[in-house]
Order: sequence, then C-alpha cells, then structure tokens
Amino acid sequence: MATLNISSLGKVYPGGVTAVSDVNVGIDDGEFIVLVGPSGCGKSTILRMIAGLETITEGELQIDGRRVNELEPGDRDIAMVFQNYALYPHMSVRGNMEYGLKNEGLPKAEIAKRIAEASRTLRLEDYLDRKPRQLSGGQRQRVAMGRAIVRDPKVFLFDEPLSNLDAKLRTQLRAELKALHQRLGATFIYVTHDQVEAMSLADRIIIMNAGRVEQIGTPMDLYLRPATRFVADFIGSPAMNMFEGTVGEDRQSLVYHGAEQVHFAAELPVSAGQSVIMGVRPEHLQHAAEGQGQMDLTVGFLEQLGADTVVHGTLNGGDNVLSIRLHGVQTSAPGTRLPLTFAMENVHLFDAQNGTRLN
Amino acid sequence: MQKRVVFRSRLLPYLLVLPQIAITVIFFFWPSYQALESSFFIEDAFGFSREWVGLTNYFELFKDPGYLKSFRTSLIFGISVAFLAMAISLGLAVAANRVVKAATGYRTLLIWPYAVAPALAGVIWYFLMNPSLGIVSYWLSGVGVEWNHYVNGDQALFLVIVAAAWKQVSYNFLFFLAGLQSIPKSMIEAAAIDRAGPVRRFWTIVFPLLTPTTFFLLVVNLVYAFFDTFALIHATTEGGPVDATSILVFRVYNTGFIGQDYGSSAAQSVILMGLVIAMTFVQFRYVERKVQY
Ligand SMILES: Nc1ncnc2c1ncn2[C@@H]1O[C@H](COP(=O)(O)OP(=O)(O)OP(=O)(O)O)[C@@H](O)[C@H]1O
Ligand SMILES: [Mg+2]
Repeated sequence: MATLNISSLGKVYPGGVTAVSDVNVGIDDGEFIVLVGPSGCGKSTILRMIAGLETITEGELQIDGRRVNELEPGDRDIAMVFQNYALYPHMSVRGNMEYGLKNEGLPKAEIAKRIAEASRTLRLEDYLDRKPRQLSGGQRQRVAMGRAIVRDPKVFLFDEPLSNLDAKLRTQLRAELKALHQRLGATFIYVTHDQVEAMSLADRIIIMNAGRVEQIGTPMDLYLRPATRFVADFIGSPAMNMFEGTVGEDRQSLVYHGAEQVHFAAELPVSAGQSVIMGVRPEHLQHAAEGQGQMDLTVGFLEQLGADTVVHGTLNGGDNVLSIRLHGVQTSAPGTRLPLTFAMENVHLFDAQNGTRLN
Repeated sequence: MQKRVVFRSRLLPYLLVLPQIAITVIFFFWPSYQALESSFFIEDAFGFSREWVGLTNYFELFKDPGYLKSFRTSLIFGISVAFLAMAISLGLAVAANRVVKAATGYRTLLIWPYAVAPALAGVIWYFLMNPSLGIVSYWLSGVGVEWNHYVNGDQALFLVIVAAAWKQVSYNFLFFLAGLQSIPKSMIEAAAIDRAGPVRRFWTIVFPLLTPTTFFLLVVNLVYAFFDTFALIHATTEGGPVDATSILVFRVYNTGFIGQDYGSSAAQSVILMGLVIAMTFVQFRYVERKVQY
C-alpha cells in the first residue's frame, strides 16, 4: 500500500544513451498502473529505477512521500516479477518464496503462514517441494508472483511477466492478476508492450515513446481522446485509419493530391489550408447508402474473425490504406466501392508536423 | 537432424585415427603395461636378472614409513594447491566479472602464467624466495620471518604449494569467469530485491550456481597437483629437505632413477595410475550428469 511520486525522472546510461527523460506522474495507493510502449522506449528502465536496480540520474522518486533515490533495492519495500521469472534454480518452490523472508529475519511461524497463504491463492500447494525446472511456464510464473506476494511489499513491479507464455495461458493469468490486485489492494506497476494487456489490466496507462511520456490516462481516455498521433496509432486493433491532407476551403473536407477525399458533416475546428492528419477507428465507420457516403472504401481483402469482419482496402482507390470493422459475417468482392459514414465525435485531428491533437 | 560424414572407403576412417591410436599405444598403453609387469618383479641393480615376487613390492611399500609420509605430503600438497588456486581465481573472477568492459586486458594478463612451463614457474618462485638473493625472502626477513626453505621442511612445502597454485590460477580463472557470466543478471537482482546483501548473495546464490564449475575444477586441480607438478618440484626443492616435499610422483622418480629400485618404483606408478583412473572416473560420472541442482 503506497503512493508514488515521480518527478522529472530521467536516465542517461553510462556512454551517453538517454533512455528516459522528464517523466512526471503521481500514483495513488492501490492503483494498477501499466507502462506501455514499443520496444526500446524505456519502460523497463523506468521500472528498474523504481526498483533501485538502475541509478536515477535525474529527478526524484518518492514512495509514501519519502525520497528513495539513494535506497538499496532491498530497502525500498518493493517486489518485482521478472520477464524470465529469475527463480533461484537450486532452491525448491518453497525455498524461493522463503528466501526474502529469511533475509528479513521473520520468525519461522510467520514465514510458514505466509507461504501457506500465498500458495493457496496461487494454487501452488502441490508443488512446494519441486525445483523450478520441474514446473511448467505458467507454474513458474505463479512461483515468481508468490515470491513477490509473500514479501507483502508496498509496491509490486512487473516487467512483461506474461510475454513468455502462450496466448491462452496469458489471457488466463491476466484475469488472475487482475483478481489478485483487487484482493491485495496494493499498488501495481506493470510493464508491457501489448496494448490489449494494457487496456484490460490498467486503472491508468502511461504510454511512452522514445523515452518520453506521450499520455497518461485511463484506458478509455486513451481510446476516446488520444493526445497525440502516436497514441492514436498505438491503441486499438486494428489500428486507427489515418489520412494526411489539407483542410478544404469550406473547412468541411480533407483534400489530398488535389482531390477531395473525405467530407465532414460539420466544420472542423482548424483553419482552411492547414496540414492535418485525420484519424477514425475502423469500428467507427459505417456502411452508408449509395450517394450518402463521406468517403469511399475500395475493397482489397477481408479478414473474417467470426463475430466481426474486417474489410481492408484503400481510400477512394488511392494509396491511403483504410480498414473498417463490420459486425457479423460480411462478404464483399475485391474492387467494390463501399460508401462510408462516421459521426463527428469519432474524428480525431492531429497536427501534421508535431502530431499533437487539434480537436 | 544429425550431421554425419559418410566415407566411401571402409579403410579411410581407420587410417585417419591410426596416428592417434599409435601414439596412445606407444606412449601410454605400452609403458603402463611395462610398469604393471615390472611391479611384480624384483630386479637386480644391473638389470641382468629379475625374480617374480607377486605383490611383495606393494606390501613393502605400505610397510615403508617414508612412502606413507609421502602419501600424507601429497594429500596436504594437493588439497592446499587446489584450495589456494581455486580461492584466488574465484576472487579474481568475481572482481573481473564486475568490470566486464575492462576485462579483456585484465583476462589476458591473468592467463599468462598458464603459458609458463611448470619447471620455469618453479624457477621463478625459487628465485623470488631464495634465502640469500630472493626479494620475497628479503621482505620476509624485514617483517621478522626467517625464511630458509633449504632447511625448513614446512617452508619448502609452502613454497612448492604457492608456486604450483600460482600456475593453476589462470586456468581456474577462465572457468570461473565463464561460470559467473552464465548466471543471469536478473537472478542476482531478484536476490538484491529479496534483501540479500552482496556477501549473502554470493554465498546463497552465486556460489551454489557455480557448483558444477567448482567440482570440475576441483578434480582438475587435484589431478594437476598430484601428477603434473613433478618438474616444478624437481626444479625448486628436489623433494627435500629430507623428503619434506617429496610427493608421490616425485618419489616414483627418486626410487626408480636415483634408488634404482625398479620394482618398487613400478609399483608406485601403478598405484598412481589407479588414482588417476579413479579421479577421472569420478569426473566423467559427474560430467555426464552435468548439473546437480
Ligand atoms: N545498460 C544499458 N546501457 C546503455 N543503454 C541501455 C541499457 N539498458 C537499456 N539501454 C537503452 O535504453 C533504451 C530503453 O531500454 P529499455 O530496456 O528500458 O526498453 P524497453 O521499453 O523495456 O524495451 P523492451 O520492450 O524491448 O523491453 C534502449 O534504447 C536501450 O538500448
Ligand atoms: Mg523491457
């Protein structure tokens, strides 16, 4: 149970690589925070600075209002689950869980009690005397979590803990993790590069790009009002459709290569002639009656998902790719032109130069 | 998929391994057989006649207090060399592992002693510790230690132990460093988060994970100390003073070439051979199982 205060946090690795710069965020007690972003954006670096495994080269980190920059990992009252689990191979499951508690000098009875409780929660009772190499990936992952839980830390840190598991197990453990968070009520900070994982787990998401924070917000904030073009592109699957163009004279159209490509139902909140990027999610586009379309999709190929059909193609047959998500099983021959409409509130406008949101 | 070379001629593969087999037979099997055979005979000093005596040579050996003392000396020598060489190299490897970037230069320096011939290694230490002109004995007299390994048997033993260990450090270092580098960093980090300090981390995580390397090196070092240090002792103390540094291999030479007692010398060789076989067997058994955790 703890609050975290991260202010102007930055990391320059020896050798001059700036991995992270100017991160500011306050984390509430019991929050589930997910750090998400593409590979190499600095997620692990932030997590490791919080853990104390990397020195903080800029800014300050406070846990419960106390500066911890200089504290050793063991003194920060945190626990961490690693991507490769980092279980001690020469110790049994019980030994792995006991290790931290013994180092803390807890009495034997207390240690036994905590291990019994954690192994019950994680359904590990039958494996306590096994060595890690005698366990499956999912079981190892549970042991790694057990090792964190028994410590009863203020903050739990997870670095892509599910990425080595198959899709089905990942979904199952994701649900278990969410339940665990609710039961413990502790502060969780979770790193992943999988946006679906981020959306389904987080109370708030911190989305990063090239060492900087792009946006901090609830999953719905990020989905409905992405603050930058990067966020818009990263969150959602299939990805948001984006077209670059200039705003027409009437401020109700997007012009590209001299031809009108998209027509809007209302005026855009930007000036005529401005270069913008317009975004609209595939699921927010509807099939319109002939002559009623605001843009046309030239069908390329279909992706049948069962519940939905994703139609991929191009905008007006040009070089802008466009996809829509339709309910149920749909068919459409390649080359067909589909007129499409969309609601004004589902339009996202970004500055073509710096990618910031304009509406 | 298995990669196999298929020879067209049936003869070629045998021809290819023939030189190695010839060397093994001429330089290993044949002398071994000769030693085994001679150990059952007593030969006169001129080699004109010999007499079958069965196991007498062996019985005589184990009645000889000199031989039993040599056994004891060998044990002390072997264990000390192995322990010293391994402890020092482990310390160096841990230090090198912390500064991996600078390690290449450092590593090269540490490997040099391994390239030095055993006899030369002995001579280097012989000069360093020489009572009249050695720099180390000069320093020692500075702090009030009277160093003279010509007279003092314990000091002589100490000298050969240090010299033998010194030569083996670099070999051990390479293996320990490789072992350390194969321990995932996240495991050490997990231990740090689990509130283990550096010393505790070393003894509870790093050292247990190095067990396979340690065991392998223990056998290699013991074999080295028992059987590979003849030249070193010959060049420094010649087994003396009064047999104080006369380990088993040295005694084989002394009995056979100086004492001209071929039967007894052969019996000693056979015993040594048995020891090597036993140790190699232990090692192979172990290597087969590889890791024990
Ligand atoms: N020890 C290091 N020394 C120098 N640069 C490093 C070091 N560790 C990471 N970096 C660099 O810092 C940047 C951020 O790395 P980090 O591991 O935090 O990325 P990440 O977001 O966790 O990526 P991934 O999703 O691939 O794990 C990368 O450009 C990386 O090359
Ligand atoms: Mg990472």
